[in-house]
Amino acid sequence: MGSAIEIKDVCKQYPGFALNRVSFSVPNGLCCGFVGPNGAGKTTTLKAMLGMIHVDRGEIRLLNKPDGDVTVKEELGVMLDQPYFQEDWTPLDVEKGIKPFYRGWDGSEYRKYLSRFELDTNKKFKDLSRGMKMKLAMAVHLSHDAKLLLLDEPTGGLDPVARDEILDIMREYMVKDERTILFSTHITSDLERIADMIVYISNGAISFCGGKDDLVSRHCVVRGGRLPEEKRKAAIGLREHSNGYECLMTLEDIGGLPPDAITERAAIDDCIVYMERRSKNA
Amino acid sequence: MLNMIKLDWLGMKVYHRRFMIIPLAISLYGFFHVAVIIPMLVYMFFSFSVNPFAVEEKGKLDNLYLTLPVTRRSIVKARFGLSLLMLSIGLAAGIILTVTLSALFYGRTIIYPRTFHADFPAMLLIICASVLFYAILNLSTFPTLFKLGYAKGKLIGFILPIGFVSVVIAALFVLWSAVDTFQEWLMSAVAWASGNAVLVAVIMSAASALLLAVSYALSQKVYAQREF
Repeated sequence: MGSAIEIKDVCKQYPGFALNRVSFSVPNGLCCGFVGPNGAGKTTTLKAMLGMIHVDRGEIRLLNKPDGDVTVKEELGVMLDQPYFQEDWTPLDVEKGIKPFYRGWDGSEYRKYLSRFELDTNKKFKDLSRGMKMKLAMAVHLSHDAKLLLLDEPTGGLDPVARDEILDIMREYMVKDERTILFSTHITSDLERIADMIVYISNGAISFCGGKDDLVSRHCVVRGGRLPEEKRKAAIGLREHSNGYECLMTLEDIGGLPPDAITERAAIDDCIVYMERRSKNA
Repeated sequence: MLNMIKLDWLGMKVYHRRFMIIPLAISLYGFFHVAVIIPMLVYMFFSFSVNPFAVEEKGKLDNLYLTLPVTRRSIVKARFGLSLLMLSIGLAAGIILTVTLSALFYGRTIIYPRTFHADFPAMLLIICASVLFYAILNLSTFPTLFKLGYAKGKLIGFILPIGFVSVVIAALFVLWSAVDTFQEWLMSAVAWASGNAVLVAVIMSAASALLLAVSYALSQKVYAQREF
């Protein structure tokens, strides 16, 4: 299985923030959740992948094409924050403007999706709800047969019904072979529902990249009365309170804990919460 | 490039209805002097060609372009292409109007009742001077807007150059009406230019080409480095 996304040692320095040797890869055909606290570098990484910012060093390959090869964008579907369509555009204007750039554009497929997503072809973009805007963007990506979707918080700010619909569209998109999604999110239930793998970024550096099940099976939540000093380094997102402590630990690190320590299987939510707490405490 | 020009045009859809101002503006300029119709139309169409910059930040037009399979070079090329297309439309409309009004009313207007003949030397000089005017505006505007965007760059990249040009034009009018020697000097300069129309036209055209080339090269350079 080849990689749809390969990022190696990407560095980008800003005043007060840096992407620090960001490296990860996403195999073809997988849906990858890109998570991390606000300001951790998710959007910056996505922008670097699109050439919107210039990295100081490192290498980015999308769909096996080198950095700077714009032809790869013919096979990309991108949505950062929200679709970049003009406020006065109707879905028909969107087609008129976008279609010439994609050789694989299928107009009948586009109209099919507009009708399925109940998008009024004469309604201006500014009058659409956020959920409808997302659906319009997905209709565009599906109509030019994008092989890789890069989505920045596609479900952020949506009500549960709209979120469910967007996740269904993403799931349906993945049915065809060799299609890949990288989506950033703060909503861990989205990860539970559609992600095959997770990349966790914190303070501009990748702290986990692997299968969703790996993340869960490699960690456990630990609670107890007092954490021994030699174990403090292994504790992820340690929180101490009057009754004791709680933290996340890898399975390799739980040996040697005092007998009063209770270990529980970690859920994705736990992993993300404790990892975020660690990044805040760092 | 044609697709990019079309997308630029579609991107400024919100401004399309402002084209309706043009007939009104032409009528107003025509009251002053038939000879100013061409430069004023060139100016108006130039202003329209700045509109894609104006919508780029509100609607994030640049971000849309950077998600499409196009290079940054082609984005700059298309915006210059659209601007030159607007220049051509302004020139063509201006030439037709000037020649027609000159033929119908001998160039006389309510405010300026002296005759004006739109003969070849006069038209050649007006066209070349208008293109030079366009090139100066382009150089003072496009590289700045490509570097900073409209929100940050409009003051130094658009409003100040336009303001400066307006002050210069106003100063010329004041000098024309207040200083007799200036009037004489200007008329003799115009007479000399009319007598050497081809030479002056070649010099102005070369200057315009140089300014546009510098503007294009600078725009390409700054846009290649810009981050979004």
